[in-house]
Amino acid sequence: MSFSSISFLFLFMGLVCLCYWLIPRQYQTAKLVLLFVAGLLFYTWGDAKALPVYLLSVLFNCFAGAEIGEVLDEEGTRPGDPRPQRAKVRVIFAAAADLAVLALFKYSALAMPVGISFYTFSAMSYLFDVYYGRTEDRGNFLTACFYITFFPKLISGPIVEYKDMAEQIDYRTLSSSDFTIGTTKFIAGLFKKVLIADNFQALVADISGKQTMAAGTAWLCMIYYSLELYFDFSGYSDMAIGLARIFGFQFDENFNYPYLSQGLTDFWRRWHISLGRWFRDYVYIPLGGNRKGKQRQIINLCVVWILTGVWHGSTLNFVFWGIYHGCLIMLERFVVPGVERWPAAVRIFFTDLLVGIGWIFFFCPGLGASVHFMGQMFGAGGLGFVNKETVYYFTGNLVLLVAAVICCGPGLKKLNAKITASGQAGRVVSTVLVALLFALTIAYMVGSTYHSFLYFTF
Amino acid sequence: MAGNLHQRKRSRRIYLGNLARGFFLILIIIMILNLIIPDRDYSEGENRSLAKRPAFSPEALADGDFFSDVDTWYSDQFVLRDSWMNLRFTAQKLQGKKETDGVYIGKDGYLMGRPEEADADRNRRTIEAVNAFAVSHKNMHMTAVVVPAAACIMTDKLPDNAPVYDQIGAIRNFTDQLDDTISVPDVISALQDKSSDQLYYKTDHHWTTYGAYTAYVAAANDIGADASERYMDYTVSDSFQGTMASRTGCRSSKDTIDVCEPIETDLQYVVTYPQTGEKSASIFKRESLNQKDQYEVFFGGNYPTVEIQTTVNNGKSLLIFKDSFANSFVQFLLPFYERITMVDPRYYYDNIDTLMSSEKVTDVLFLYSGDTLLDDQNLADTLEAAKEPSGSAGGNRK
Repeated sequence: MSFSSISFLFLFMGLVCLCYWLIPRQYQTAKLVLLFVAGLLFYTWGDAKALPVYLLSVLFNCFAGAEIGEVLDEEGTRPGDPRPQRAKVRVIFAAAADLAVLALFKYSALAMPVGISFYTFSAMSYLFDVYYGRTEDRGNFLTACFYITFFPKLISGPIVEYKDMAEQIDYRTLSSSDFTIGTTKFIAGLFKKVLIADNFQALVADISGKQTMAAGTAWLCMIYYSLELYFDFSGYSDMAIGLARIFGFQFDENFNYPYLSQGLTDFWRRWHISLGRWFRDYVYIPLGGNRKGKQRQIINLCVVWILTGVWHGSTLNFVFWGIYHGCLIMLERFVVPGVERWPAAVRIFFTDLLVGIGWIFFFCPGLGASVHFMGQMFGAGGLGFVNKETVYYFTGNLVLLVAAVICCGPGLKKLNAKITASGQAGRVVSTVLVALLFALTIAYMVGSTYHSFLYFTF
Repeated sequence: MAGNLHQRKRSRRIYLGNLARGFFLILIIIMILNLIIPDRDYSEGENRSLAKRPAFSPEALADGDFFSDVDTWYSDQFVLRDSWMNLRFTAQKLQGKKETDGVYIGKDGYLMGRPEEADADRNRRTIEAVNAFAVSHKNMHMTAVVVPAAACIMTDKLPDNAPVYDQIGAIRNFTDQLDDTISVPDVISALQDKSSDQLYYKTDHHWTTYGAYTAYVAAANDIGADASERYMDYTVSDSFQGTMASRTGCRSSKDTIDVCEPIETDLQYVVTYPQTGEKSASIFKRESLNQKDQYEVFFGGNYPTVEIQTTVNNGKSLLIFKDSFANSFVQFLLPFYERITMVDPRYYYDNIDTLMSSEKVTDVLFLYSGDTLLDDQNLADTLEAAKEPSGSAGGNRK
C-alpha cells in the first residue's frame, strides 16, 4: 500500500495514529505491540498473497539472528574478537538463504512480494550486526521482529541498519518535537510525491513510448524522468522518515539534495544514502575496502557496483547501469585529475548530466531500447533538435518543471523557515500556502483514482 | 538580542507544532466524515456506479481482493469526491497543462480525447471479416462510414503544437483495403471542410447532430438517401456534460443537444427494442435528458439490436453495424427505408444471417467511430460467426 494513496492516508494512518495516541504514555510496550500489529496489517493490505513468504522470511531471520547471538554468548566472544566458526557457518547459511529467496523471486516468473528487496536487506543487516557484535542486545528475537516489520520503512526503505534502530526500540525518548518534526517531514514528502513526481509519471510514459522524437524531446524526457525518480523516491523516503519520527524513531536522511552533487562520489553520498551505507558496511568494508591496496580496492568497488545494479532490477539494464556508475566513480577517483578544482556549477552540471544518462537504463525496457533512446537524443529520429512536439511537452509542463527544479535545492525550505520565523504575518502566509498545497494533494490523489468506463459508453 | 532569537525560535516551534496538529485534525475529520456519511450508489459527475463497502471474507482477504476492494471503495466514496476532481482539473488548467488523463484541454472549452494508435493485427482481422461478409452477400449494397475522433477534425481547437496520432491516415488505410463492392463516401473531407463549426461536443467524445448531418449529406448518395431532404432542428438541452467532462473533472463547459425531424416528409414509425419488447413512436428518449449522459436522448443508449419500421413503402431494408456514433445519425435516415435494423456487435450474440433473412435486408451500412473500429474485435466476431451454422453462433466471447 502506497503512503500516497487515499486509503493509507485517510484510513490506515489516521486509525493507527489515533490508536497510538490514545494509549497512555506509561504503556510504551502496548504502543510497540500496536505498531507491530499495524505492520502486519499494512503488509497484508499491500500484498496479501505474499504474506506467507514474508512471514516465513521474518521468522527465519529472527530465529537465525537469535541463534547466532546465542552461539556468540556460549563462546564468550566479545566485539573485537575473531568470530567463532560455528557463528560464521550460521550467518553464511542464513544470508545465503535470504539471497536465494530474493534471487528466486527476482529472476523467476513469480510475482515479487512487495518490498522484498528492502525487507530482505533489513533482515540481513540484523544478521550481520549481531554477528559482528555491533549491537548490545545480541540478537533479541522480539526486537528483531519489530525492526524488520516496522511499517514506515517496510516496503520502500530507507534501509535502516539494525544497529541504528535496535537501541531506539528498547529506549525510546518521546518529545513533542518528534511529532512536529515528523509531521512536517511527512507532509513535505507527501507534496513531493503527489504534486511533483506523480505529475511527471504519465508525461514520461507518453514521451518514452514514442519510437522517434526530436532530439530536444528526448532530452526533455530524460530530465522529466530524472525529476520524477528523485521526487518519487525521496518523497517516499521523507514520508517514511517522518512517520517513523512521529512514533519516536529517528532515522537518518535518505536523500540530501543529490542533484546538487559535485561529482559521482558525492552523488552517492546524497542519493539513497541508506543503500550505499548498507553496501559499504556489509560488502565493501568486509571485503577489505581500501585498506588492501589499490588493486583490491578496484575489485571491491566493481563488486559493490555490480551488486548495486543487480539490487535495482533483474534485467541486464540494471547490471549495466551499476557498472556505468562504478566506472564513473573509478574514473573520478583514479583517472581524471583535478576535478575538484573545477567550478562548482560545472561539476554539478556534469554530475547531473552523467546521472541523467544513467537513468535512461531505468526507464527503457532493455539495452537495445536504451541505446535507441540515446540515439534519439542525438538526432537519430531525423526530426531535428526541436519540433512542435518538443514545444508542446515543454510549454505544457513549464510550471511543473520550474517548481521541481527549485525543489531540488534547499532554497524553498530556507525561505519558508525565514518567513515563518519572521512573525505572525509570515506564518499566516505560510499556513495558507501549506493548506492550499494540501488541498491540491487531496485533489490529485482523488483524481488519480478515476476508473475509466469509457469503452462501455461508446 | 540572543534572548530575542531564542524567543523567535520558540514561537516558531510552537507554530510548527500547531501546524502539525492541524494537519492531523483535518486528516482525522475527513476520515470520520468518510466513515459516517452513507455510501452513494452512483456518481453523477463521473457517470458511473461507485464501489460499495466490501464484505469481509477470509478468502477475499487471502487472495488480496478484500483490501484492493477497500481501496476502491474508500476512494470512490471519498467525501466531496466530485469537487476534488474539479479542483484538480482547475489546478491543471491554471498551471498550463495541455492534456490530462488522455484528454486534450483544448481552446474555447473543448475537451478532446486523445486517439490511440491502431493495432495492425486487429485491423487486419476486421478488414478480412468485412470483406468476406461482402463477398458472401453480393446481392446487397454496402457502405462504410468511419468517423475520426474530434481531435483529428477540429484541429483548430487543439492546444498549440499538440502531437495527435494520425487517426485519419489509419482510417483511410483501413477503408482502402475494403472490398471494391463496399462504397466509402468521403465523409472525412466533408467534416474537415466544416471543421470551424461545432461538429463534436465540447465535453463529450461524440459528434453533434450537426456533425452527423454533415456526414449524412456527404454519404447520402452512397447509402441511397437524398441529401436535399430538409430537417427542422430543435434544441433539447443546454446543460450536457459528457464523458470528457467526467474523465477530467471539468465542470465549466456545457453543451447543447439538438435533434432533427424531416420537414416535408410526413413520417410515422415504430421503434422496437427486441430485448425488452418495448415499443416507441420516437427514436428520442426525453427522459434521458434528466440524467448525466444526455447523449442517450438518442434511443436511450446502445442495445444489441433496435428495429425501426416506418411508413415508407419502397421495399428497402437497411442493416447498420454500428457503435454509438450511429445513434445520432439514424435520425436522418428515417425517410428512406421501410425498415432499419441497428446491430451493435459489442452486445450482439445471435446469428446475423438469421436476422438478415428475417428482416429481408437490402442495404448494409457500417457506421463506426475510428476509436471503436480500429480497436474493437466484436464486429469481426459477429461477422465470422455468421459463417458458422446457426445455433452455434451465440458462443462465449469477450
